[in-house]
Amino acid sequence: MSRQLWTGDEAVAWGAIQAGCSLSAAYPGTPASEIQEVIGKSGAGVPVYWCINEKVAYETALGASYANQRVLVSMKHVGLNVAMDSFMNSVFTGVNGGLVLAVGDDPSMYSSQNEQDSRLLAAFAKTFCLEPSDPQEAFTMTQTAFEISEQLHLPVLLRLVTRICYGEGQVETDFSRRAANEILLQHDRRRWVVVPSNARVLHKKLNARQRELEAISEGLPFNEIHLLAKKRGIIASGVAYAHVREHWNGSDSLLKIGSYPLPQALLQRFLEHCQEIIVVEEGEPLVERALARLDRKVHGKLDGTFPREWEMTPDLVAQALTLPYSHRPAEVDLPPRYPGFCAGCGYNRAFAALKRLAPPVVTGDIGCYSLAAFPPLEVIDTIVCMGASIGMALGLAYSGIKPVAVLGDSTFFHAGLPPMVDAVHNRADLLVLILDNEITAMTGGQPTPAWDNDGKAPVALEQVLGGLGAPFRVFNPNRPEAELDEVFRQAYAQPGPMVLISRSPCLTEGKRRKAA
Amino acid sequence: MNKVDVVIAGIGGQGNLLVAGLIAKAALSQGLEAKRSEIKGLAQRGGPVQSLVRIGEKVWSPLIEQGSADILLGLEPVEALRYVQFLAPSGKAIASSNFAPNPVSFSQEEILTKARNHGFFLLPATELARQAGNVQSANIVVLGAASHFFPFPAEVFHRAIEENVKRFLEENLKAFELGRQAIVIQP
Repeated sequence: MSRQLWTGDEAVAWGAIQAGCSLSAAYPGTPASEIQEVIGKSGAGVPVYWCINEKVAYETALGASYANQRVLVSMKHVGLNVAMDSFMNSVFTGVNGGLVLAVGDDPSMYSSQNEQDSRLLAAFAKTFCLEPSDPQEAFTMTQTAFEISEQLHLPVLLRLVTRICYGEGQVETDFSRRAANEILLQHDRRRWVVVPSNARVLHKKLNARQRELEAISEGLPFNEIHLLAKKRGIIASGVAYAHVREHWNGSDSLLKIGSYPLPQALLQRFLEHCQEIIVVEEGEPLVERALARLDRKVHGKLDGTFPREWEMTPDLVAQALTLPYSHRPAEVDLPPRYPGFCAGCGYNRAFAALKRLAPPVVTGDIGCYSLAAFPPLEVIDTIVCMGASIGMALGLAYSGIKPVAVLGDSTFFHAGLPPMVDAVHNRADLLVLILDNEITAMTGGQPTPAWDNDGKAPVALEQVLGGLGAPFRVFNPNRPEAELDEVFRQAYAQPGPMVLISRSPCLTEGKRRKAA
Repeated sequence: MNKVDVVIAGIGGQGNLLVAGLIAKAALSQGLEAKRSEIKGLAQRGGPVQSLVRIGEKVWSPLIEQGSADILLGLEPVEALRYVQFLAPSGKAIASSNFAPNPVSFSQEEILTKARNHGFFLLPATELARQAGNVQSANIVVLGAASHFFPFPAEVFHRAIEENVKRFLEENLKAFELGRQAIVIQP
């Protein structure tokens, strides 16, 4: 056995490698991007696929699972929204080889547009979910998740949060590897073809199997009960359990939750023992709601003991447990520090030109360029989700307002393509500005489909737009201002749809790659 | 030893995560547990970066409570002051007195006075790093200065640096020593 210092992301990656995972698929997204990065750099020989979006990543994984392979698919929480259709239906079809879906939630939204609790989505899909409280558990649970997935023939969701993904801790491992599954094709159309006649039967079966899921949850070592004399009890799950343990003095009863559906018998025992219960969980009050219907004094997010938003902290736990809590006041009068575009970034110049063009509305998208919504540029008016720049621009154009939609190259491939097809088909009068830095920069420099690395066929933006019949013009944003203004003026004056591609490679990622 | 909680404050590109990693690895080599947590995101676009390192015989949470950090390690004076509420009453704050560029205008002298009023040890880390032969090693200079307050000898950090820093190793070891010498601990 050796003791590694691993982040949760590293622990999941190595957990999958050691569990005999044969393929990894992902679209990068903070805080989950590093899972697949680590698998790719591990030298373990597990092929990794950076897919164009999370839906494609999920389906790639499902296809490999159909061939009996163990597969890991990873994404951030909002990525699961994109993959939700595939995920939901894969719970009806079930899987063949073990399929583990690792999702990185981002409580406090350190790098996200919203807060979501993926445990709810696992419950919504009626499948199994594991939630680690530290990197060691992230490692063990990933391996267990593959076992459960093959035992139940269901995808298993591994619910991570930023503090697990980017939190480093010691992990014991012997680096042993289970052999990969044999590739096997066994067709079962009653299961894998979800037309209504089959789906009706499958839903009934899935519902009937929920007790089986509960029974497995009941028997897992990730749930832990400590019944003590004091009649106050604490129920904690995931990273919130680690915060609680920091304060737990061994007088309150304690129930640790690590798997869902909830271990009902364990909960029942705990409820019978305790008079008053405090529930500490990251995200939505899922455990608390399950208890709230019982006639018991339950404290948590529903009664205001904890805030409903933002991440759980040891400070909040100390206050809820009414432990002595003191701290010095913050130094309030400090100059703020805003992130800005990196020195020499072409985006900055493209946005300055867009600001001088002054169109009535600019719809934005997800990436570094969200900085252009803030001072000094303040040129982007909306940022909603991946691809929404072009999607919303359609509605504005149909309303008689000529918008400019701005998005990056990777985002264009991810979710900008479908609304672009609509734009061409409906002759929508809009201008699309694709900021092409030839990389997925924001999440640490993952490839885009335009790359020709490892013998892959590059899919150039020009090819795609040419194929759609969308007029486009490529320009270098480092050209003189007057020239840029003329490019923007002409492109905007032309009846849409029109596409401008601002091409300048990401300097930060280029430098990093050179250093590596 | 019960535990040492460390908050490391700086901005993107200052090597915040390297310092956090060195502390965690040094602790692990001494048979202690370590937990490390960081927030990145827009960090590489010059935004603030905060790392938390907790070491001890048993460490549960990756987070540090306000008012309980034993060491505040500042790679930049403004960013260090931003986390002063994390310091325990007995905690030590060690920070570089060299400012990172910030388009917002403010009085540097006022900031340094505030830091002194909060009991900070200030040292010109960038200048010392330049003396050591690599201006990028300012983070290691501050680590060297803070090394007095860890429950293990300087050699443990030397070894962690040797095992984990690939570029400018000699310069980094020298930077560590210059930082360590910049603070004189009264016996």
